[in-house]
Amino acid sequence: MISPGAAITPAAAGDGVEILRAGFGPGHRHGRCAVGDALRAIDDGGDLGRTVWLDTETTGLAGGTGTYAFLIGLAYWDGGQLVVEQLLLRRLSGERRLLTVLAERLAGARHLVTFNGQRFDWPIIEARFVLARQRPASFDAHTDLIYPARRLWHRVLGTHRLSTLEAEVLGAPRSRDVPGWEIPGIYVRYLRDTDRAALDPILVHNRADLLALVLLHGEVSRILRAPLDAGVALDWEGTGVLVGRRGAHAVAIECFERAMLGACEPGDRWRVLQKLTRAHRAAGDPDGARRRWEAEAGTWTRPDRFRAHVLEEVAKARARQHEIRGARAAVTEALSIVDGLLEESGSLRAARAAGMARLADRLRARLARLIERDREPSPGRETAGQHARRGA
Amino acid sequence: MTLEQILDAYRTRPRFARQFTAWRTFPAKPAQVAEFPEAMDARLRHALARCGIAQLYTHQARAFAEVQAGRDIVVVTPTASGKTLCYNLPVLDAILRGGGPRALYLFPTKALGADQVDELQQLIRSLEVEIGAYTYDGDTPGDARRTIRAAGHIVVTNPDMLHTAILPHHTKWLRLFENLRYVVLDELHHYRGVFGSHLANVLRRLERICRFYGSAPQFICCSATIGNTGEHAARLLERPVAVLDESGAPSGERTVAVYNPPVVNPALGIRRDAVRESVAVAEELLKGRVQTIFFARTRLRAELLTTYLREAARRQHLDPEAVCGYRAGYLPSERRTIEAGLRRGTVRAVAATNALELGIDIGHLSAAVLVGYPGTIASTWQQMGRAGRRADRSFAVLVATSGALDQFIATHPEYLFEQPVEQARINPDNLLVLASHVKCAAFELPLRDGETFGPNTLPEILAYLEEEGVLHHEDNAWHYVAEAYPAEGVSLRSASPENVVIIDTTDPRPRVIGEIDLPSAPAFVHEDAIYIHLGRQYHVDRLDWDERKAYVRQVDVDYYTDAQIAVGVRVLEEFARERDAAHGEAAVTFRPTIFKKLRLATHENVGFGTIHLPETTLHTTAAWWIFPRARVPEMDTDALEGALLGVAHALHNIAPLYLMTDPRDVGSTVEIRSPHTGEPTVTLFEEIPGGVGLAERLFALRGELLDRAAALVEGCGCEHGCPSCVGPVLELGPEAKRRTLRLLRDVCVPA
Repeated sequence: MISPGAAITPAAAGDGVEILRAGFGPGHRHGRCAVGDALRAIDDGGDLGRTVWLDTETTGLAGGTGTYAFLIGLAYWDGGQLVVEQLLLRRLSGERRLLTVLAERLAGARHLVTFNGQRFDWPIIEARFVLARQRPASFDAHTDLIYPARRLWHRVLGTHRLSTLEAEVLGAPRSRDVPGWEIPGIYVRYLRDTDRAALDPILVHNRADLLALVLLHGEVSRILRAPLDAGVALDWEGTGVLVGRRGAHAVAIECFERAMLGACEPGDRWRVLQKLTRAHRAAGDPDGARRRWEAEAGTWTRPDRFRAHVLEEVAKARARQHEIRGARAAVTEALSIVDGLLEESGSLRAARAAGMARLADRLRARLARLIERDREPSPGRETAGQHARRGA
Repeated sequence: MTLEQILDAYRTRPRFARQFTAWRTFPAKPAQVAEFPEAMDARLRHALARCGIAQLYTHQARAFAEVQAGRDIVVVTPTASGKTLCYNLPVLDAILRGGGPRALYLFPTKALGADQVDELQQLIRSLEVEIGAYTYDGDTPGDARRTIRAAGHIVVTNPDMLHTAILPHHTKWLRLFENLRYVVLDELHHYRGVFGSHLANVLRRLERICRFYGSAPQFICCSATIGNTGEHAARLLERPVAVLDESGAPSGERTVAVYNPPVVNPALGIRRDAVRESVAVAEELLKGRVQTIFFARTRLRAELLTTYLREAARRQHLDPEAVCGYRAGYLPSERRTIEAGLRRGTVRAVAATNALELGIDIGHLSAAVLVGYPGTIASTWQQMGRAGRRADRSFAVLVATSGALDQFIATHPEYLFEQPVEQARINPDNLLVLASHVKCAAFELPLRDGETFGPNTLPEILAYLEEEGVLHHEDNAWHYVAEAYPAEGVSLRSASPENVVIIDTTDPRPRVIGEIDLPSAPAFVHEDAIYIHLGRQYHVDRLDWDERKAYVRQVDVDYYTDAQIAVGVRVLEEFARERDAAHGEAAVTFRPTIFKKLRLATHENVGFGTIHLPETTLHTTAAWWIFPRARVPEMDTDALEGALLGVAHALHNIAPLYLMTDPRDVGSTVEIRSPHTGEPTVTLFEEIPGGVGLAERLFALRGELLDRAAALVEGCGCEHGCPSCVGPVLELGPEAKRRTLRLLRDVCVPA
């Protein structure tokens, strides 16, 4: 919950729109995190003043032109504090004015930050602008934190809902919060009986969401800058993907190695190994990729389908580096594993056996190509020749 | 043997000659052509020339001129007369002229839409101009959708997508709606009954959205022949529409015949089975390698036909695989294969239901055999129109069943040739239909006070929706405030959108072989039913009603199954009553009871079983006739029930002729003592939720229908009653015919 320190002041009212404003100083804490630390971590190219965090409450969750955004919450950095401003639609007929105010607030902003806003909040606001015959605001960038949050935490927490992240990542569990699915009903009841007090829990909920959004943004920025010393539980595989996208391949490799420690099932190991060796290659280190496959072959010694696949990768990596004999050895072993498995295929399901037979065929073809290459005096020329033939 | 020789054989061989009750030959008709219109863009002329088109048919040229003049039009044309150019030419011409106009094409099914886009794109390619024409349907991937919204000059979709995906998200389609110049509605005749009533409302919503964005599109419609094309189009669009009904396309000489199978039991009035007889007639066509299409009334008959035709093909040394079935429930890929086979000529015979009646392109066939009267004159001509080549001779024959309507047509074939074609009926102001679209409309844009949307009952509907918490009135407008996405709860088609999937478990790896709509499932895939698919028999091992799955296994047995459904009716409100007849709102329940096992070929009963399935309820409108007990003291309960069933049978059979609708749109039931009237009662009800006005029409015709039913029973050549008049006499008792006549003539006084 928002600490009582923040003063909430009605900023304006009338024409069916109510505006509320609250300020949070840099020292304001929400769970483990402070506002000032979060904003420093975000930094945003030194242009924090042009970043707006946004979260809406709506009359429906399915979207479409009949869904009203009756409460639009904004957060921005202004005058040394984080300002949370809420635009509340007191009457549906006030929407035009609400959108005018919103357009004014967004006019100077260049960077929009939301949680699930790319699919939900922003399309609804755009539709509202079109319906009011106004031009929707535009941004240079829209960061939707739901995507990094999913990569970083979904597998660890079993969900990536904002309320769970708030509790587990920010260390600020909410109590007595109005459940999201009740919000449309409360607002529609308010439209009839105009009991304004009934909306207070929604306003509190929305402010909490906004503060959580800003602080989560801070956490995500901090973690991605130095994931290895993050100090919170992370899905290392997802973290590696995010870090890799930022070009930090060495860090990504380390993240994937940590993910390998927790991956016991062949399926999981296979998926992470693919990403890990790809990161090695992206870092300009194909040798590292080869060594990683070889290490896996050294670790996983059970003669099963997974080992056959790993050996195939070893062979491919070796062949790329013209270690033909080594590649042949790996393929030969893989083939003997698969042939062995096929012999017992009575116990395999038909589909599985068919997949296995395809793998065996592929390995045989690969082996034939390797034997062919092994005979050639100069592998380099042969490769060039093949290219020439293909080109012709 | 040529078709010519086969037709001669039919006329001369005693086996067949006697059974033809009508034989008419229509002369070949030469093409009527016109030069390219002056106003047409030169690039378009060149593109047409590149496609081998040097001139237009007169109807195409006229359509172009009418659209240029700013009129809404409906073009009525036979199958394969080049109707697509009627809309593609004006639309492409406008796009070439610039200014960024856009067009929306609506087809009743996804398959037809896909067909059209292929053809349209061919024409666009030869134009060598960048014009975006895309299908937008449930299969369109997410990123392609964005491209289509931003850049599609021509968006091809179906009414369901317009209803659920485009209109409720119109702000995303801003570019389309701001520039919408043309709306193309093909297969207009298809939009009748409940589907048409819904479509009319979807179009009301479309017009509203266009007004909001400042556009006012022109409508270009195409239709097969119906009795009231102009009126129907005007009712759908709610404005006058110019009718263009003179086709300039050529046609070869056509022979149209009616065939009544020989009587095998004169006392019972039973004729030889129409399916068997059709196969006998068709064997000559197979022998002569004449490509033929068969139309059956039901899926079961289509499958039986396929089975028998394959046997006939074997006898004629023709590959049995060249004979196919075609009906709803086949997978789309199976259908596409069969359509392509028909076009290439590798499929020599196809046994179809009316699933093939729609404008699906299967090329031109030489012969059409209609197994049973399709129910309306319009469908009869549409199905017969599948046989017809531009230059060569073609043949179409209707083979009558023993049913009353069929026998009426077979003995009065002039009805077919002289009676005007049926009219399409819709009722866009059906309260259920209207209210659901008012909801959708309010979701799309708040409804202003005084705004019109259909009839003037709007204020009451709005008040009702406010009470239900769906709408909120404020500042002279009605706003949508419910959480649910309204279009999702409204299906445009009469059939429920739900399906039962049919899974073949013969192989260890189960496989989906087809699907069936939910209301039909109890009758076709109940446990122990024999389900026939692509001519193969499957035994239904288990029907998982909650999961909507039927598990079947391939079998080879010599019988098929026929399910019995008990129908109950409860009157909810009586709208009007005149003496012994009334109409009103009713809840009809359907309870599956037993199924019969019938031997293939002979149809003899070889056993039965019970069906254990929940009953279903339909809220609809109905008309009923009362036969006061006191006026027939001489009949005991059994006798009375038999007579009531006879009345219901006759009324149910005669009603479609007056309603000009498909017999399957109406159902019937009898009660010895109706809880509502307290008397013996015969009820006819609409098979469409909420009804589309047929029951009211039945009530208006209450006296005439009784007279006509009596005339049908009296005029029938049978002794004690037969399926052609009062129904199967074995079930009704030998006195049924006399007693039915007594009820019809003396007992009910409808006015």
